[in-house]
Amino acid sequence: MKACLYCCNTPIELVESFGLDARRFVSSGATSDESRGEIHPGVCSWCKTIIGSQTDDDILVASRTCDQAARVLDFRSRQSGKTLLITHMPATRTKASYQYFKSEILWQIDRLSEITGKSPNEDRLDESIRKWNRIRKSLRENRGLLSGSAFVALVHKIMDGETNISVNSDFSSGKQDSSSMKIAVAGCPTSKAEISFLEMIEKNGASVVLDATCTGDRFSELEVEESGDPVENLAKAYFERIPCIRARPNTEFFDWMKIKTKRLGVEGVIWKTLRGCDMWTAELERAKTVLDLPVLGIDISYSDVSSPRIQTRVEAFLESLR
Amino acid sequence: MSYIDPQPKKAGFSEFMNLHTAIPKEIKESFISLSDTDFEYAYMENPGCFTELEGDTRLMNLRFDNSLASQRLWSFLLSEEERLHKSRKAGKTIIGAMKDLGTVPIIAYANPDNIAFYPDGAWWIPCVMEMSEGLLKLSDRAGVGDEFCPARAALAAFINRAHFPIPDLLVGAVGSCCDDFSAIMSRISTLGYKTHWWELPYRREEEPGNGSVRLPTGVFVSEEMVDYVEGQLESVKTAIEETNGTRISDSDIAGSIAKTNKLRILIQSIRDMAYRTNPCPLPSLEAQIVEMIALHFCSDMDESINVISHIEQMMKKRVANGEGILPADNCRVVWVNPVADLRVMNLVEDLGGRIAGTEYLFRHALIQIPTDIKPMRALAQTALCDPMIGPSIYRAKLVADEAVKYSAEGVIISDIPGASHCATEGRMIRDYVADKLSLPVLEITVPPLTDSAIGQISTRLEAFFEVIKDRRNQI
Repeated sequence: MKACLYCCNTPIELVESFGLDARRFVSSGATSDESRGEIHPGVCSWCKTIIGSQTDDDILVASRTCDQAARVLDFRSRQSGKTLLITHMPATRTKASYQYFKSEILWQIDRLSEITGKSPNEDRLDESIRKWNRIRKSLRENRGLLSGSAFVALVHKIMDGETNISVNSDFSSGKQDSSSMKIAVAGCPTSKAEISFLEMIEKNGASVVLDATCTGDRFSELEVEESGDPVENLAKAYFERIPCIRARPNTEFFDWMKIKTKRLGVEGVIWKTLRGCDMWTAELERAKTVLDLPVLGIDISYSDVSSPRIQTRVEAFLESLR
Repeated sequence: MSYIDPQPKKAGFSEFMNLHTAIPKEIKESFISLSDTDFEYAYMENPGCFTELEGDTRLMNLRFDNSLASQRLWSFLLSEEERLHKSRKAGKTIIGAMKDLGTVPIIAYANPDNIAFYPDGAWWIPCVMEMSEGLLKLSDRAGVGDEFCPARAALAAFINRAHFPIPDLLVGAVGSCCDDFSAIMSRISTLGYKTHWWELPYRREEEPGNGSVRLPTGVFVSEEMVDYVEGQLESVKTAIEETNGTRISDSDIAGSIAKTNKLRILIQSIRDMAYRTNPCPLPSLEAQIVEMIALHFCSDMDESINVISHIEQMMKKRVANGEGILPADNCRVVWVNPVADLRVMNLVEDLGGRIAGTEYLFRHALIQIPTDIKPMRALAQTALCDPMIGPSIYRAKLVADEAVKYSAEGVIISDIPGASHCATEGRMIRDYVADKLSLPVLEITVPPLTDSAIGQISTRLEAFFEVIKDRRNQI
């Protein structure tokens, strides 16, 4: 049985521990995949590709984070007849919200158990936790070896289910140019087609040393405690990870950005929002005041990722930083 | 001191003003708001005051129910800003509830020294003032452009502070709320206003039994979910208590719930008459306002009950006399989502429609709150009936139930431009209604001002009503 996970707040370790062939959704970014006219054009491209991409997954697993994605998955599940498991990831960061999130994880265990006919297995869960800790640790430790585009491409590969990464082969291409200008990218999840956007930044003499999207450094900055109750550890790690932009208040996200950009010597931030994404779009003006760095806001859809408009704006921004 | 309503019909703005002039002064002065304070005032103003002094110029393009009760309803609604300002002078604590649409104000009003309203309601300001106030432009400049729903006007209203008084406390419901308003609330909070966040979890329905809890709408959810929301609402209560400095007891909440239930019974009675009786005894525009009053009592809980009771009495009289304001053969439709431009509610009737059921995003604000359990738990259970926090199919079922209840012949989904829920919901409602009831569905988009789109909206509505009439002939 195959399961596709649609949000980085959903513990893949748990899904895998039930013997499911689990992967995380990576948008192809191909405009031909964009929903095939089945939903309103105002939806962001990432959500459109959830509808449009043809996959052979049996189960859709997601966290209730952004409204659009939850509704699009609901739609897809009803259209395709596939089982949808949605757990609630609280936007608030209180103790009560943590307890509720934990109860959601327990609900998910029950449902996975029903679907697969397997009992929860602590050994398998421990094994999966160790495996993903290793992967994320490797990504963190070798992050400096890779350019931003190569790093995100590697994250995509892992999300796609290719988890046998090797430092020698996977971290040998796309070296980071330590002499170039240091840039951070934040915003909506990056699709495969948008790797070319990151490469374009790099071709213009900058290094993407921090990727604060769901498909970049925030993907790897998570470690689950390996001793003690694995369910408790999973809930704690996922709840306490660098929060999504939708957290309320979302000061923690900006605090993390400030610390990381300072530590990495970032000189400018590119705030990449998919047209139709309210969560990231609304925070652009705030980022400009909070981050204390030059910020370029780029609204993008998958169809114009390599357009002259985008390229010119990035070039002008990088020029202004020199 | 008596006044007899003219024969029921819709009146243009001039006629509505003239009707107001004909109402005896003693009657006008008997309609009082904030009667528990030194700042009580008679709120029945000539409608012309709102256009000339407040800039509510859209009123001149609307047509109104010509009854005294309707005059009172409109004055009560349009004088809300003044009421909020007077409340501040009277020393009341102002709570700005955001997004939950119907729950937090009940907690706030449990202490008569509090007043609560939804800044979200600012989404109507660009329509009512015909964009002269510049809120959407200001929102654009703040980086919240037209990819967001018109509720972005609320952000601008907090930036320019030119409309409602700034609340002493903002209470924002997040979690399963729409992306638009979650983002807008986040930006509002960063303007430096004291904000308390509480969580509305995703409503996942459970099977009956195994400790699941039956909500007032009949669906079952887990006990953990109800416990969690009850705890969240306790945190809201504490935040309000700390802001006001006065404790709110369970019996205070129970008292507030009792008044709320009284209002909701009246509104249900009005809905039943307005959406079922033929000829229709209340225009859809006034009916929509009546439903909206359920959200925060238009900033005066006691008077809102009097105003709505007046409307109900007027309608009962009309029904008893067989009087109405629309031709009996107008096409009966369920209307989904509130309209950003109020004029559209006139338009739908002018073109041959009538409303036979609604789903305005806040069904949970219209249902009876249980009184046989702890008040805060009752509020939690009611809040969890919010049609926006669960799968779209729940809303589709509500729409279908309305269609059956009020014998609707079609469904009109009025999309809100930019709203995250509208992108997929329309299709799901359409599929469900078509599958279960074989009713035609029309989906239109209504911007805050429809003037430039009125031609295409009219054509689509006309065509839709033609389809319904053809179906009548085929039966």
